[in-house]
Amino acid sequence: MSLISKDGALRVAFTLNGRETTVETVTSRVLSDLLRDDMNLKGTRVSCGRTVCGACSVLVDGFPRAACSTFAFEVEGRDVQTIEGVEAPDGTLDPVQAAFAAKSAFQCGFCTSGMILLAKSLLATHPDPDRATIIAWISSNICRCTGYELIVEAVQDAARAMREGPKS
Amino acid sequence: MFHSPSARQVARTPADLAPMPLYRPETISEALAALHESGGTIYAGGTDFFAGVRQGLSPKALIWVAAIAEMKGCTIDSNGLHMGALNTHDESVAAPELDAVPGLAEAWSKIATVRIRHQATLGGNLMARRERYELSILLTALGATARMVGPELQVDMPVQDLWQADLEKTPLLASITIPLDNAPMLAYERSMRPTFTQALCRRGQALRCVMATEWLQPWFKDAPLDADAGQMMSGLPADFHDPAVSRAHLVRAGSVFLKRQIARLEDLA
Ligand SMILES: Cc1cc2nc3c(=O)[nH]c(=O)nc-3n(C[C@H](O)[C@H](O)[C@H](O)COP(=O)(O)OP(=O)(O)OC[C@H]3O[C@@H](n4cnc5c(N)ncnc54)[C@H](O)[C@@H]3O)c2cc1C
Ligand code: FES
Ligand code: FES
Repeated sequence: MSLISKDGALRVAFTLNGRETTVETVTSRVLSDLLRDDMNLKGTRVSCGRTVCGACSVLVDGFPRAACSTFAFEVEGRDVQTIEGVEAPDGTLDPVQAAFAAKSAFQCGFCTSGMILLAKSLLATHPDPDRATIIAWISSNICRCTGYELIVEAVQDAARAMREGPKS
Repeated sequence: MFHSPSARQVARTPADLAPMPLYRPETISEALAALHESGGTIYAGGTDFFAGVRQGLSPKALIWVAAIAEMKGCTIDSNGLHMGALNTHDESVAAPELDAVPGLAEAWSKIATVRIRHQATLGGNLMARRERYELSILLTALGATARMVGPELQVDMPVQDLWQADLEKTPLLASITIPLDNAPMLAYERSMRPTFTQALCRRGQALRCVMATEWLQPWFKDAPLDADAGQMMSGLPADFHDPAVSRAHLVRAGSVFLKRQIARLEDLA
């Protein structure tokens, strides 16, 4: 029988920022509310709430997905990464974060966690992306402040830094 | 005060949804049974569903169809190219079977963004029945049929009939078939979007041109290969215009694009 929950209550087990996690939730809970309101992970921003702007992007199995438009039950058994899981445990910034900071690739910062995760996914699959590829990916999300150019440059810088490895 | 204190200042959000029964069918018959039992809503990639929630959609139950293997993949047989309704835009474009219709993968790859293409499905694009979505335009040009299934009935209908289809008896779109006789090929022009888009299919000695705007359901015209572009466009119905574009402009600009697209397909042939 295909009924998973009759009364709307359910348990979801998934990996969150590298940790096995199980939550008791309801079928109508979306991932962004689960993260922000139930797990106090406020780095995932919510703006349009309808899949368009990408401010709420998280990585699900390494690919960007709008958390505002993903039910919590959809991540059962999957790997979820939020902005809180991007920096190293000792607080060292990820190369993409470092490049965004160095370039000031943000103004209000509302889109930034989504943009950084988008860029991480891009660079995981395209270590040396050309400008057109970066633009194609970055256009998935909306930034109302920067005009995108600094974001594109930050992604190029991060790609370079990741290819060259850590400076000794 | 313009609004009473109880009036909502913003549209509904997913947080307004009440917990509801959830089904995860693994076969089409399980999905149909779940629909029958619950009166619920089909949920595929969800990229349109949440726009619906913001517009008031409040499902009684969710039928999450993502695990139905028989609604995925592409195959070719003597009836044509079959595409599962659950294929995402990315999966469809990457399928080698699409090479059977030159121009289709290229046109499809222009739809939406990287993030959306990974998640949004063919079935959801058609069944959302929103004029601004483009697969209806491409598939109408290609003379595709939609396989709609219900507990007691299975119907193959032209894609353009989905707009008016009664979904009571056959609520689930299982797959799409493009006939491959006379080697169809496709050209698609979306540079004027959202004002209008135009798809053109050449199939042997016949053309089918589709015009669509942000707000109007696609219009199509069949004509012989040597038809005059201006004459084809002058067949646009008198009421084919919307707040952003006049019929006269659509006829004029549509003719220019059509000439170009006919030449493009001549080159492809
Ligand atoms: C930011 C953004 C940009 C976009 N850009 C474009 C674009 O450029 N061009 C374009 O054409 N589209 C575009 N889209 C639309 C997108 O392609 C559709 O939202 C998507 O294809 C819907 O598929 P889904 O699987 O997400 O559907 P869902 O959201 O899961 O479902 C949509 C509707 O279809 C119904 N449904 C789904 N599958 C079936 C089925 N198999 N049988 C019966 N009913 C079903 C659902 O009940 C629901 O009513 C865009 C969307 C977004 C969010
Ligand atoms: S807030 Fe999720 S896509 Fe805009
Ligand atoms: S920095 Fe403000 S929206 Fe991007």
